[in-house]
Amino acid sequence: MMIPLHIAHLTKRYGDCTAVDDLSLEIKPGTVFGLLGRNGAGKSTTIDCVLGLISKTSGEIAVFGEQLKAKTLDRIAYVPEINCLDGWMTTRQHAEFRRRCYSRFDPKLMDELIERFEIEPGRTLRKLSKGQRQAVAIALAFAQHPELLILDEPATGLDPVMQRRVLDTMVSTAADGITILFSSHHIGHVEQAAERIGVLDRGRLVLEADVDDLRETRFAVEAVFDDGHVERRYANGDVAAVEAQMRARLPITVSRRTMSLEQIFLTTIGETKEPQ
Amino acid sequence: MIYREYLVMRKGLAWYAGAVLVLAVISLVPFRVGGVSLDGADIAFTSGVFAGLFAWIFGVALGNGSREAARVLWVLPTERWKLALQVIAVDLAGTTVAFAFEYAITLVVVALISLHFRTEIHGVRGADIMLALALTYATYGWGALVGMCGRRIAYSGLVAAPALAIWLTVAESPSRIGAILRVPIVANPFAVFNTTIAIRSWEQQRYAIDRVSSSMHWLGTTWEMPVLFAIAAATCTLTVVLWQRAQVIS
Repeated sequence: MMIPLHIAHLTKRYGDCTAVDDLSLEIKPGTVFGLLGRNGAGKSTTIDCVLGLISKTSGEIAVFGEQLKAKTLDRIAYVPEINCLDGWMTTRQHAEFRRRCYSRFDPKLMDELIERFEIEPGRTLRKLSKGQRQAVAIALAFAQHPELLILDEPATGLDPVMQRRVLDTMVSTAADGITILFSSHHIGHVEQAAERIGVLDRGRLVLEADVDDLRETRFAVEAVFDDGHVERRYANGDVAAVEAQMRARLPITVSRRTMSLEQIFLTTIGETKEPQ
Repeated sequence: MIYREYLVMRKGLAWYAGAVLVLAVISLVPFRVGGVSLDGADIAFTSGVFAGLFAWIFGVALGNGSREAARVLWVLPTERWKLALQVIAVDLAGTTVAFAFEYAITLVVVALISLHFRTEIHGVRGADIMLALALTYATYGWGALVGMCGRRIAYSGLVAAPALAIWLTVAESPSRIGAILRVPIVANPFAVFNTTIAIRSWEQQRYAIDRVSSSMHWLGTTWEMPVLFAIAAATCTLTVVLWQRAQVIS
């Protein structure tokens, strides 16, 4: 099966600033891939490069095995971080516009999603709330029946109920074999939906792994010493060696805890103690 | 893409039609005595000015479309240059409809006036209609080009028409800057149109010719229309090239 997205040594510079630095990534068919990173880490820039919205400084990007062409975009749906849908158009008009442009657009699915996301289809978008406008953008993307769905911070601006619905829709969509790439700085969203994650930090991909593998291989080892002092160290892979190092300092107890994705993310970008 | 632009155009034409009808009613009010004698060229040129205003406003479409909306438009499964051409085609078609509507309303106004007063229309010429249309297309082209060049600012294309008018005005001056501005003045559709009017006035009533018209005397009454169409084609082509090469504004 054709690889939906292959990125090799992608670099994007704006003058002296390197937004994306030698990024290599491959997303396999049917995967939900979460691109994590702080604001300004290069997530949106990477997506812009993939979609040809900005030119890359160097590197290669292959979408379904070839350079991005106009006809390939019929197989891709994209939801930008900032809602760019025309406010003077109604949801129905937006759906009609997409139906005329995308060969796979499914009006029935759009109607279902309108109902699921509780959108009023006859109102112009400027009369909808920010969250509802985002829901319209997401519904339009899902109704396109894409093979590759790219969502840039999809749940931003949504209330918790809508976030849940959108993430559930993502998961069920992925179950139909659709490949999803989504970026977020909300670790909870990624944790709920992604099977595999990539962590970007200052333009560099510092971690790429399956979420389940991360949970199985990354642990926090906690040692309590007799003066009440608690020390925590993070282990990546060889947890036994870290435990042995801690025991060598004669603590009262040594315990092993699974790491949350948030801890993994923070340790990866160096916001807590470096992992061993 | 055509559908979206069609929706915008439909809305624009509705507002335009409303404004033209209001103006038509207002123009009827002062007629209490006397007859009306109109030249066919006057109707065409007046319609051209009104449709030119319409084209001036719609010239911002591509520049604005390359801003936030680019994230929706540039991921459509159509070549970007084709998208741009679709927008231009719909806008120019809408401009033509706006021109035809204004022309028709003027005739209706004249017909209504003729119910009470003697009215005459002299010399309706197809060339005048085409000339006025060419002026609107060239105005649109400049709006589109300026809008694309200054796309970081929304509606920057609206600067084009006033800038062309200022260019023409300053070029009239006897100063050195006026002389410099007269060198490329053939690219200014207002100047070309103004030259046509000036040459006609000179031929018919021997009115004096201004500096700009004098510098473009070579246009005569033959080349003005091709030049206006060439301006429209050149500006629209450059706009499409810029649209094709543009990057999304982050």
